[in-house]
Amino acid sequence: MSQNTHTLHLFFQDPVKLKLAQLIYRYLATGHTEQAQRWADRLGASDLHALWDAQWFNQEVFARPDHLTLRFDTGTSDDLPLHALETLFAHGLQAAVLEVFYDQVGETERMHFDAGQWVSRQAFIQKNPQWLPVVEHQAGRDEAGDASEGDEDADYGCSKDPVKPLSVAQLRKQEAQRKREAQEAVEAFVGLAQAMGKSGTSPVQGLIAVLLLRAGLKGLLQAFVFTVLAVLLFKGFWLWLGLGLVLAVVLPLYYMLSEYKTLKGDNDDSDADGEDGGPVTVMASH
Amino acid sequence: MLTQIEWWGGLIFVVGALTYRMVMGALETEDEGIPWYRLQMHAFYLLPAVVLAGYFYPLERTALQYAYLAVLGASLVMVLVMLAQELTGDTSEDEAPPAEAEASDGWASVLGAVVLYSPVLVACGLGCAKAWPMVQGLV
Repeated sequence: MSQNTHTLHLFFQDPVKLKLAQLIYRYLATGHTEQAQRWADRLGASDLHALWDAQWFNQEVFARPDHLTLRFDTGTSDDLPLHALETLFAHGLQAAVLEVFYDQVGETERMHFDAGQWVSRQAFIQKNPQWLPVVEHQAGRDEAGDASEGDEDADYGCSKDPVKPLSVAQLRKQEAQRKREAQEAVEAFVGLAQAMGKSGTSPVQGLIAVLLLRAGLKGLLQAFVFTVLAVLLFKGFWLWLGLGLVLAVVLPLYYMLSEYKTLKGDNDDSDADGEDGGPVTVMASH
Repeated sequence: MLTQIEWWGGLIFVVGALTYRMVMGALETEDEGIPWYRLQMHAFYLLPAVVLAGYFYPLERTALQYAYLAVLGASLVMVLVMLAQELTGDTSEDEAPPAEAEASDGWASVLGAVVLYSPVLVACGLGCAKAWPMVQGLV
């Protein structure tokens, strides 16, 4: 089964808080929740669920003299550990780097956090140059087999930078919203497919109908906007109304025809590719 | 009908907007540097649009008359620049469709140029007709 492997480097300013966090996570990783709860109370973050997600597995904790590294796996659709980061930032965490290896696609992504904000790699290095060897040396060691001059480029390449610094709380909200929308889209599609299944229409035919309808509506909308603008801007009400009516017939037909040609072309291509067909065919067979 | 633009002016605007879209769609986007040719084409179509809109208004204040003359002058300069480029063939690589047609068919090229540039030329002609008495009044 595919999974995402997370490596989370946590850097604390206060050595006492670092020690406390190390104790909490060591106890959590070994399942001693009572002990972990005791130290979490001392840190001030008494809710263990805010520090540790029960869905994490294969967890490892590395307590270094100057930082703490957590490694754990999650399912491919599970959230990033942003809730834990938000809580830790509220209780003495200074900076953090999250590295996620997406097993399904074989890609690594790295996110840099500083003072409660998701920042770019450049900004992180400027503020915390001392942690760069820890973060990127780690990556180099993991790929020790093919260490070459391209390694540094790889380090740059896998960094996921925000357009502008974004607080962890906001990032968490955005991620939650994105997930909710994706879920809704999937549910909508499943609902559509089920409804079509009940009425005996194949989902592919239904999808084509929806796409054609959308193309038609697009043409209709354009004709409407044109008519309104022309009537408002130019004299000759009946001329523009007539022209708008003609467009309201011609444009939807034109868009639907071109959409139909594209869809037909796609189908022909996928038929030519082989018996398995394209993604549409694969979806239909499920 | 919020403006004083006549129905035939509206038709010129619609044809102009269509040709503007066609020409701009045919131009390739340059990734690096300032896209001078694109900017020139924008000016070539948008300045005459202002001239055409101004044609339908009285423009009684002197400042407005000077502004109208300035925009008309700029439009005429753009038309002359385009004309010079068409005649000498000195355009950039991402050229407008009429010049491409020129290579294949002479008549098609002329027809293409007339269709593509007619809204601009008509707008400039109308602008000149409006500007002439204005110039006489100002001088």
